Amino acid sequence: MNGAMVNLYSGLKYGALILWSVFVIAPFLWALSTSFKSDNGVTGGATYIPFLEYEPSLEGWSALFRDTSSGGISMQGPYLSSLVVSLVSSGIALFLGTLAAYGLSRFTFRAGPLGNNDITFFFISQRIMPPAILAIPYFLLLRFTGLLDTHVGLILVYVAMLLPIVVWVMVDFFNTVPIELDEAALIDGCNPIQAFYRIILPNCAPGLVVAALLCIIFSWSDFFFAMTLSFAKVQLLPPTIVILNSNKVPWWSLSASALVSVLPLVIIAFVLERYLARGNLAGVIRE
Amino acid sequence: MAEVRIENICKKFGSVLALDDINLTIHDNEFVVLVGPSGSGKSTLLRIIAGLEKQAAGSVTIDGKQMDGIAPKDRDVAMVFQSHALYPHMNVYDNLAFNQRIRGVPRKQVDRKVREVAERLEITELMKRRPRQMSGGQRQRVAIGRALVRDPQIFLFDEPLSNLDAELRVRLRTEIKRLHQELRRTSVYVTHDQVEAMTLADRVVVLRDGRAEQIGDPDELYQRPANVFVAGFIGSPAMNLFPGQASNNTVTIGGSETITLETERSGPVTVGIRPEDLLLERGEARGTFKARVTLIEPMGADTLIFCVAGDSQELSIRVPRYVRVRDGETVALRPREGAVHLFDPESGRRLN
Repeated sequence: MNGAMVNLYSGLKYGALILWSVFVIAPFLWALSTSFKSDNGVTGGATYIPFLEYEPSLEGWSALFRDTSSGGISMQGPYLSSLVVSLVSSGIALFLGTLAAYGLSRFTFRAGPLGNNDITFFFISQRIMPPAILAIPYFLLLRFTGLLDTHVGLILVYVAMLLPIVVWVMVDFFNTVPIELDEAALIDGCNPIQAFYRIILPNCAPGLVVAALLCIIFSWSDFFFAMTLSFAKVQLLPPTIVILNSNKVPWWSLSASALVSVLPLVIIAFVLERYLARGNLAGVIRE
Repeated sequence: MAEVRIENICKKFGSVLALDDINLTIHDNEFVVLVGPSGSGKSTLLRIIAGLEKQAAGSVTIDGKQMDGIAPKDRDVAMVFQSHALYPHMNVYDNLAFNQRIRGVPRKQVDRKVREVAERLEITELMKRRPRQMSGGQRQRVAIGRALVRDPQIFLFDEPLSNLDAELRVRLRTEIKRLHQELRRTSVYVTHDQVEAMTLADRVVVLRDGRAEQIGDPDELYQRPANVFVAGFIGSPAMNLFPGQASNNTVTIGGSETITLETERSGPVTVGIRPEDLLLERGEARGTFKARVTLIEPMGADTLIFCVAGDSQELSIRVPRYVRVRDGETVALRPREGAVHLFDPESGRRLN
């Protein structure tokens, strides 16, 4: 390649990357700028630059925390509910799921002609069903048990939805850890539970992070079950935001709440990310 | 003091009988090697001793104590694995110290022990490294160190040298032998390498298809193999085995050549002669048979000669390095007196 070709190539490369970045980032910028607009700023044609094109206002943000009686949308309640429901359900799913996955990876199970792989597949097959089909049985089930419109009910449903993901991800990870590590730990002085928590699990940290992220993202941003299984006593964030979208849309508050709602995911992703890239297992498996 | 008694051990994997009625007493301070081809059940037996595997029948007794239902951690055994099985998320120091910490040994004592062992194995400068930052030999050395820190009653080795290159294998083999001489701990060592078995063992157990074919010290195994399998398995190159006919205290091989041997047997036999027990003679003489040289492998100290006797009977001979033969030459071979083994061709059992 000569100089001109190289320039053309890198020009195309960066051009494509910039285009894609705009595509990804623009909605956030739009939401950010909209969240500082007032009624006039939104309806008076497309404007982007604060102070020059529109007068910024904090109305969108302050409405988030104001009571409904004073024209606000009082997001603290749903926010807290969403945090509790998604963290608790993710925690339970991770705890149960890693144990189940470890069992499936290390022990042989038989149920008639079915073995470990069938059981693992059975776990993930629960997610084949579209949520719409599950919603009605869950609704009836929760109503029957008196758990409809409660945190506990939502947590239970989310755990059921998250478990397959955890099991699926973690079985694969545990299978990459040689069983000699368990055995070495057992001989060294661990009981099976200690061998699991002190030796095997730390070596599956990247898998645990992937599973945790998937769980939190799903449970935090799920709209469907939140909408159908809770309505008055418990309100989760996604339906609350969507309901804003009713007769007269407060675009500024909608934007502000959207930004606030992705914040925990961003924080959690940053915290967990550093555990992702660790090639600890290199050199353990037979060469 | 630790004696391991293995009584009537049987083990099945599905419908396959992995161990078939194994009986073995490993004496205090003894170094016993379990050797056999893959699938012979040698690792399974070791794992049963360790408590990692449950036997279908029979019992393991350590120091007079029945081991049924006793967890691996409570058997006072330490094990070195083929894949070293060091904990990847810990550095060398923590790998060595882990078994002491989990057993609640005071910190100072752990530290002293770890440093002592590290010094003995010359791995002190590796203390801060993770397993992935070390070579195969260093890792295996740390794995041995992890067992040493335990100061257990019994050392178990599961093919610890199989993943190493030839030079390192020989070095660590010597080191393991020296360690055993110094520490005098009961040791059980699994390998498929008969040289390792011969060099390390006080006593060797040759296993095949889950059965103990012979138990004896290396000399016994080499000089008086109990059957054709052991005869062929121990020694490199393998013992020459060929069909013969016995009658009247003579054994005829290859139709015409005869060897005089005291045997009450008459009828077909399998004759076994080790490569170094076939003596090369020039010219014809009584009691010799002819063979044509097909390949010569000078090994330095001695030379291996491969030849064909009769139509297709392949033989190998080991001669001192100063013996010169030419490719294609016909040589006369005389079996060394008293070094001919006779086996039953059907059962494979030793006859003389």
